[in-house]
Amino acid sequence: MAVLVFAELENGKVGRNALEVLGGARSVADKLKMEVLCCVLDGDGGQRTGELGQAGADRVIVVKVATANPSDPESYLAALAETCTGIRPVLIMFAGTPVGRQLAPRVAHRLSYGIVTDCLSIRVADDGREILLTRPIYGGKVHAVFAAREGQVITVRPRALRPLEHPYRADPQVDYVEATPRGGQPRTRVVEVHKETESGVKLEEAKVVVAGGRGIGGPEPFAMLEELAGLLGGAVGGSRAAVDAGWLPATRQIGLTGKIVSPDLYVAVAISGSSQHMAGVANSRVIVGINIDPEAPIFHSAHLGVVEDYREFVPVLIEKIKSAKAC
Amino acid sequence: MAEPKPVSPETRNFLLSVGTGTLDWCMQCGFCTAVCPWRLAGGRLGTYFNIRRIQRLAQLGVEGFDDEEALFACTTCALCEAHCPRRVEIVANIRALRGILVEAGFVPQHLDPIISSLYANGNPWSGPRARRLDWARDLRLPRFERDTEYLLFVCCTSCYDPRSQRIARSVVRLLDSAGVSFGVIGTEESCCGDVADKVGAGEAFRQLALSNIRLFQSKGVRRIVTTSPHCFVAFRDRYPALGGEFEVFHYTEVLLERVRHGALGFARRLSERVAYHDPCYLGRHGGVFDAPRELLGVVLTAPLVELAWVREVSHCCGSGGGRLWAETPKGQRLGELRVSDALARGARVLTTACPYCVMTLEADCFGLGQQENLQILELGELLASCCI
Repeated sequence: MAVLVFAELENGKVGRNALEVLGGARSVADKLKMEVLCCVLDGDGGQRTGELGQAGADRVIVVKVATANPSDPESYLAALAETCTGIRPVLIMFAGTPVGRQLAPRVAHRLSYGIVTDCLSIRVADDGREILLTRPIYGGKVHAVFAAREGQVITVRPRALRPLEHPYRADPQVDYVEATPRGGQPRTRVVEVHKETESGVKLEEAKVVVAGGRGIGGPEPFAMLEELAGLLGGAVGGSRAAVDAGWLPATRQIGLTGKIVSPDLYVAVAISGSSQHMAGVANSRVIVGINIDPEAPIFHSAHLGVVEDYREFVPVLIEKIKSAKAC
Repeated sequence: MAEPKPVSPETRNFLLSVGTGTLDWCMQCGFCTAVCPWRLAGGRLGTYFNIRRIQRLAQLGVEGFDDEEALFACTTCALCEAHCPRRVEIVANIRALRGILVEAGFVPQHLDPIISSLYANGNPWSGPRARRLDWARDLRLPRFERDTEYLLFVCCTSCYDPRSQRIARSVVRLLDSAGVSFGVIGTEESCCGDVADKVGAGEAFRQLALSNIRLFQSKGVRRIVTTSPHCFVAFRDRYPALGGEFEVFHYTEVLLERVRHGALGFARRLSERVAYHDPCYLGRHGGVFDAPRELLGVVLTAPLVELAWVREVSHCCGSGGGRLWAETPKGQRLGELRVSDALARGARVLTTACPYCVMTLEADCFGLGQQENLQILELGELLASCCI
């Protein structure tokens, strides 16, 4: 009996997603006294077996499919499903990436396994017989726990599980499986890949977000906000008004109809604080409002309020942070 | 050529059973699509959202009626219904078709936090229930007692949105000046549920409505005056089926009655050129066209500026039916058409009587860079500015 992880490589490397899923698999397998098997596509995967062992795999199965294209799951789905069928793992784990989300239900169907997607945590029940899987339901308001006894496929939400802190083993057993590619035309083909060109930290993942609103007055002052965000290791966003005015691209819009962010620190610069906007930042740990108008509604929601023209205040703040960093 | 799709009598019968009962009255004349305001907005939805087509697919049970982007584009403005020669209940059909998706868990992403918050907080704005009366912090707001005539029900938007709070405060001031016996219940109130109802979250609507009905009945409420036309229509037209029979009024109706009886007067007159935008839910849905105009007639010295599309055929601001929480690209928004029309007619103020319309028109006015040329005012704010 075993726990099987499909390790999807990121640009040919063992990335954060694979490390997290393997780390989670390791802790479950240890409780169940089982092995962790790791399936990986040949090519780059064949070069990374040692790293996969360090990440938690007892055994690495390198699947060779001549026509496999890592970003097209259908090109190696059959080989992967056959490999799993031969092993019948208790649990098959995928990272909740676009590829993982396409593979997981297909593999589950082919093996007649159950599936739970978007798992936030995974643990073994006290009796040691069931695997307990937690996932959000009702738009995240409730966490449901599913108990799996056997034959379960799951996808794991990125950043939900932790990689192992110490390397597990550098020399996992490595097996090679050669699969004959199936005939027939692929049913889907990737026409184009659009990469969002965002410089710096991603808005949704940033620990610090500095956002500008209508009161900024134009596109140029956003350079000042960029500098502040850069010093704090954060990202820059804006209110709907700032985006409508054309000062920021729509990908930077924060609020209910833009991105919903929950940083540790949210700095709202010259943002009045409409409910549309505030509902998109409500889960921030600390909200700082900087606004020249003491009556601005932002001060009802902010933990810390600065009544000052941002043009005066932000440059001083930047200087202070710089000098504090220099100490 | 498009691939042929099978007709499914089973699907069709299922759709009829969940509330699209008038679907078969539709003879596919296409009037609905022709008059739909999205046609004029010029963006993607102008061609993609085709209400006649959705109804045809549903009539036949052919897949495609459940296309999320098209189905949730509808603002439920009911302009199509006003023109339909067969009186098809198009908004009810949209609501039922959306319900199939939403109740099965396929909630459009932009509506997810809204519906979650309705369940969790009793309002769509993720506002804590305890802060429902924050808008009245420094007002002496009467509480509803058994001998109070009207329950004043303030829209969630005007409870939580800082801009919109001014509307609630103005209405309180006007009711007060007019000597109306009114009071609020407060933090126990929940959202009227209109947004849940219109986006197809039927269970959320039922829970909100039942909670309000029980609350109102326990307090002895008989008459309700609302700040928002959405609450007005929900209470009047949707609550009776759930056991909630109340006499419901929009605040403009109550104020007009007071003006007619000489109980409310205005010390100041306005000489600006003012245009009035009929909110779909006050006008077409609610049947109230004259009360706002008559009130404006009392305070304006110049004749009211009427927009191109008014009264029964007024055009939507774009934010009904859950669209307040959907993003429409700038340059393709219905509200921009209303703002541009008001400007073209030389209006300096565009007034309306709905918190959603105010929020939308104001954002679109700024988006067009016209905030210096056109002021967006809620009618209550405009009237209150004419009180002493």
